[in-house]
Amino acid sequence: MSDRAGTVVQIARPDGSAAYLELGAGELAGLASALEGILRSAGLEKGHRLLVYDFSAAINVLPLTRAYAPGLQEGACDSIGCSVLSLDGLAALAPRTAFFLSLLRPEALMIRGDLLPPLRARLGRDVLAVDPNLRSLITVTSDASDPFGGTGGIEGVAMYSIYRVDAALFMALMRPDGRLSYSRDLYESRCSGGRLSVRPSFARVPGFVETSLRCAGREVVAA
Amino acid sequence: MIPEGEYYSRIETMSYKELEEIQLRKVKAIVRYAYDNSPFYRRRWRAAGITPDDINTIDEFRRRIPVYTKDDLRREMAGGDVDSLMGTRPPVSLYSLTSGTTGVNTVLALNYEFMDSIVEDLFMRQFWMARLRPGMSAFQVLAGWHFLGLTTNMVFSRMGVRAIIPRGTSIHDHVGDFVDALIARRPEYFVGMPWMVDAMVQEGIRRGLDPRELFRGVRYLHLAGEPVTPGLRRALMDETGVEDVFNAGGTADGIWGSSDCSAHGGIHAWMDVNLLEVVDPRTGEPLEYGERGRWISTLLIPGGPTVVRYLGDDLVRVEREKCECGRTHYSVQMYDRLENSFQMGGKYLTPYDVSLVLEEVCGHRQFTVLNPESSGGVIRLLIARRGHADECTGMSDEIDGAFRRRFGVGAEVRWVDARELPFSYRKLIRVYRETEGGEAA
Repeated sequence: MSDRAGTVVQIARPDGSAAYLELGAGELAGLASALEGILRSAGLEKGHRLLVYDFSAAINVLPLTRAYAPGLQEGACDSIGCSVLSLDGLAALAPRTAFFLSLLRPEALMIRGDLLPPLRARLGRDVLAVDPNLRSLITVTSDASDPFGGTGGIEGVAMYSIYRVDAALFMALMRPDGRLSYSRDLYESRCSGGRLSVRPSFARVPGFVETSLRCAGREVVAA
Repeated sequence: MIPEGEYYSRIETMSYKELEEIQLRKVKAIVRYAYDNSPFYRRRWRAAGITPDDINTIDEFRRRIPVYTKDDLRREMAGGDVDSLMGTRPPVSLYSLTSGTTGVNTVLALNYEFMDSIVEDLFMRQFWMARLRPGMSAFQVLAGWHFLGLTTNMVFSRMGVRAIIPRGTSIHDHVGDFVDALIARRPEYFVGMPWMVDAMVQEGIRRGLDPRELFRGVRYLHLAGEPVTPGLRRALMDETGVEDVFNAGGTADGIWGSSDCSAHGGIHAWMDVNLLEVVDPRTGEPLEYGERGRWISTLLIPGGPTVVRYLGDDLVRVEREKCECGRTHYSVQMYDRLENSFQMGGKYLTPYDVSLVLEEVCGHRQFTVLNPESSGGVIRLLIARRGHADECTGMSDEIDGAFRRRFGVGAEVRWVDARELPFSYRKLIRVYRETEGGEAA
């Protein structure tokens, strides 16, 4: 791989305007490492399949494999040894996602939170009951107050959520019981005014970015 | 190792004798690989009484190995193990899909050994030929499910290109984001589809931006998804001010494709990567190079999803003559999908043919052919006006005359606004049949 390769990805600011993240090899490796930790915690293992229902340009999808992000040496799934199919994150494509859930029978589904209702409507039953092979459902959200989009649990399927703050290249894993984890090696954090602010140690970001996570000292919980 | 010259690999200008020797060697190897590793081929070939030892010449290969179609793939995919069905060597690392234009998407199970090989042997040559160079920045909308999208990313990594990635995906709803990204980052290279350029130009005009200002800094357009006619190329260059427009084509099911070169004489598909055949769409009989028909592809790279005599859904013309760029290998003119073709005056016509005639009279225009099978021996066209004072709207008789001269059938023209043309989810419907549902203008 050439060291000149890289990815500039467009993200939305909170006001809806566009901003751009410059992701060179170091930034992409950091993101992949953060995501790898999250996926391993969510039960992904070598030989598992991961189906993704979100846009490929999202920072929780880009670092999955080196085929998704120019400049990425090794993606999170590459390191784990899982295989991945990423489908476009459009509600209208729920039928396609439902089809590939039944065809590929993945062990894990990563889905942007707002796409759960259309997929559930398409399946005509709870998304988690689609196949006994499915062990982990990982929702993705930028809103820490509703990480699971109202999805109830089902026996035998573990629920997780990735909480994402694009401007800080930040990803944390949330569990239904409110426990939250993120890599202290990859992110610096500070608690100020009861809110957690973070910045990545693997990228140059202008300053700490406030999240919607509440904190008290070193104790961090979802909003 | 990135080269410095005109060609990415010396194999691009190799003699036909050498290329044919390579093809024969690789065909024999891929037949054996498919038989040994793919339940799909083994089952079909055993039923036909064929073993790899029976194939010793290209002629035997063509006569004895049966073709298969997308429907065969769909049937097998539904009941089999997707990973091993087509012989992909484990471990499978990722999957890609076909576009699903003609129905359910089919899946390719991919490993990195195969991906690295095909990126080096096919796609690095393609992008080098289309003037992508190390250190450039390139606009591309990511589609993690699309084979060409994945390989393009890997080309960028290998060549040292910085990708400019807008959010969302390649549908009209995200065109505003594409325009924002183009203005903010000013890439030198643009990978996309013709409709995207058109939609971005329209969005730019809506914002008060001249198309040349919008595309300032972009030197090359590399466009796939529909054939680029000479008139469309000229229109795109005039409108955006880019130095050149390259037409990429091929298919994911047949795993063949490339782009054209600066001479624009057809898509240069690599003979050491694919063996391409052309057959009569009605009879399935083999055709000579230079004749229009359906393609059959065999991929000569082992280890990934194996393609041995896949009968595609497009009409093409494959030439095998040295191009003025110096490359040997195939030059492929892609016309359109078979289902977008229609018979008039005893000929198979496609929207590409219609475009060429329109361009003679008016230059490039967007259009839709209406109900060709029930139009009473004339070609009925909806053509989009360009702007408010399109002089060509007064030239319907000249268009009719041009069609009569070229095809022996006339044309009835109705001029409409571009938004009145029928669109499907992602693209313009170029041949509209009432049985498809929806409404034409």
